[in-house]
Formats: sequence, C-alpha cells, structure tokens
Amino acid sequence: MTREKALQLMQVSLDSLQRSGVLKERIEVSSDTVILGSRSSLDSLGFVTFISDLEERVSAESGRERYLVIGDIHSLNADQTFLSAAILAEYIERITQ
Amino acid sequence: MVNDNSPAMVITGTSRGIGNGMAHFFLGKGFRVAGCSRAESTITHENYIHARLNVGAEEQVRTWVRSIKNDFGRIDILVCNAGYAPANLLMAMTPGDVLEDLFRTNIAGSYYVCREVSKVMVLQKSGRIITTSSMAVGLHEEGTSAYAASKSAIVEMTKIMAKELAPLGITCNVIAPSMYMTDAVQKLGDKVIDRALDKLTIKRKLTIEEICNVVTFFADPVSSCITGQVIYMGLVC
Repeated sequence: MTREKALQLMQVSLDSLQRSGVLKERIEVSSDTVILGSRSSLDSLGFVTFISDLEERVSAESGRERYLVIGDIHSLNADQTFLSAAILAEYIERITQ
Repeated sequence: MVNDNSPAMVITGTSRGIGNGMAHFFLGKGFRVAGCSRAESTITHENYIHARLNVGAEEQVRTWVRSIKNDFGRIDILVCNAGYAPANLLMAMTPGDVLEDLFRTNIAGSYYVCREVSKVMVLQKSGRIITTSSMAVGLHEEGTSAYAASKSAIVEMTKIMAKELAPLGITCNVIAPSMYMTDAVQKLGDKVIDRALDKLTIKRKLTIEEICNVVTFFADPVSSCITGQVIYMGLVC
C-alpha cells in the first residue's frame, strides 16, 4: 500500500468517526497533520478509536490481517514527541509491503 | 453458529473451573461464546469456538481477538477469567520465575485481552468487560502475597479502564469469587479448604449459578450505569 493510499484511508476513517459522533469536527488530513500529540485534534479515546478503525480498513484494503502496533509506530519516530500522518502513512506502507 | 444475532461473549480460561462452568452456563442461555486456554477445548457446542493460546503472549492475544471479531462480527461481553493461584508460599520463599509467570498470566494476560477487546468495543460504542479478582485480596492471608497482589492489580486496572471507556458506553467491573470447587482447589486438601472457608463471611463454596448471576448483572443492558465496581462474593471486604 502506498503512503498516499494510507493517507486516503486515514481521511476516510476520520470522516466516518465524525459522522458517527466520535469526533466533533472534521479533520483534514495532510502529511503534517498531528495524529497523536499536544497539537492533535484527537483526544486519547479518539485516537484509540481512530487507530482501531484504521486498522480494520488497512486490513480490508490489503486483503490480510494487519495490526497497527503503537509501540512499533513510535520506534520510527523516537526523537519526536508527536505522531504525524506522514509517519503513520510510512509505517502502514512498510507493514503492508 | 446457530444464531448470529445472539450476544457474543468472550471468556478466557475455559478448559476447566469457573471459566468452563461459565461457558456452559451462557451457551445454555443461547449466547455465542469464544473461549481460550492453553489446552485443547473441553467444550463441544455449535455456538462455541475455542483457541489454544497463552493469554500472557501479546501477539497471540492480538491475533485471537481479531479472529473472534471476524467470526462473530462483534464482541458484547468479555469475562477475563484466565489466571491461576500457585501453591501458598511465603514471600521469602517465592522464586522470581514463579512470580514473573504469575504476573504475566494474571496481570499481563488480563491486560492484553482487555486492551484488544476494548478496541473492538470502542468501534461498537458498547460493551461489557468483567475481570476476575479474588477473595485473597480481602483476606490478606500468609502465603498469598504474589497471587493477592496480582488480583489487587486487576481491581485497579479495571477501575481505571472503567473511567477511560465510560464515554463510549463500555462498562468495566470486577467479580471476586470466594471458594469455588475446582481441581486446583481440591488438590489443596480438606484441611486447607476448611480453613479458608472458615475465614469467609458466608462459609460455603459458591455455585457456578451464583457466579454467573453476578456476571449476568454486570452484563445486563440495564446495568449501563454500573462501572468500576467490585462485587466480592461470600466475603465482607
């Protein structure tokens, strides 16, 4: 799965969470969007819900069970105090290769 | 599966004891039940699926919960029952490997299962999580430092989980049974069993129906405001 596709899936996921009321406002995803961190629009529960939903979509899209492991994601970004959409997309690209 | 609309329940530790009894009870009520144990399944029922795994192994739990979601489509109730009590040992005599294995199964095992199932439940915006503590927490008996500590940790974990998941309509509660007759308890011998019973408020063994009654109460849709609670059975704590 390409990073671009991963970013698309993130947008689809966040939009569905907004429609279901988990998110109050729409989040427009770009590479710089902060997913986890002080500047994120997601609170902790919102993040968990987003990651769980995204995991299902990545699995469905790739045709195989995939697991988004938070500890593994952060290992790609050890010097930062936040998780960006770009880093998450890079991780999804890697695990779906 | 006979009925895809019946409640979907996950119970850990279903090969024997309380977990086995609980699985039979709820299968009899028409639930779909997914169970697990380190051993082969001892339950044959068209609404039961079994997995062999070690709940203390994070990857195995992750894969298992995903498979349940795929098979059942949802998870309505989780009962974290898997755990064990080692032979009574004073703290000064408890080996490190016994302690670590106990904590891995009783604490980390419950933690991993709750974590993975909660991710399914947050997408549903509904669910009931019931973890298992023990009378040991209230009795503070010599020889139970490791076991009682592990069960005390379950209480604290569950209360925090209750606060974290409340906004999404998921309740988390603890059942703390007193004495239920299992193979492991029988091996302790009559003297030990009688001494333990004597320390209880209600000095007799529990039945599986009594234990499942508490689970049923916690799981009931009408119990949606009951969360972060501990019901000790047979003991005033």
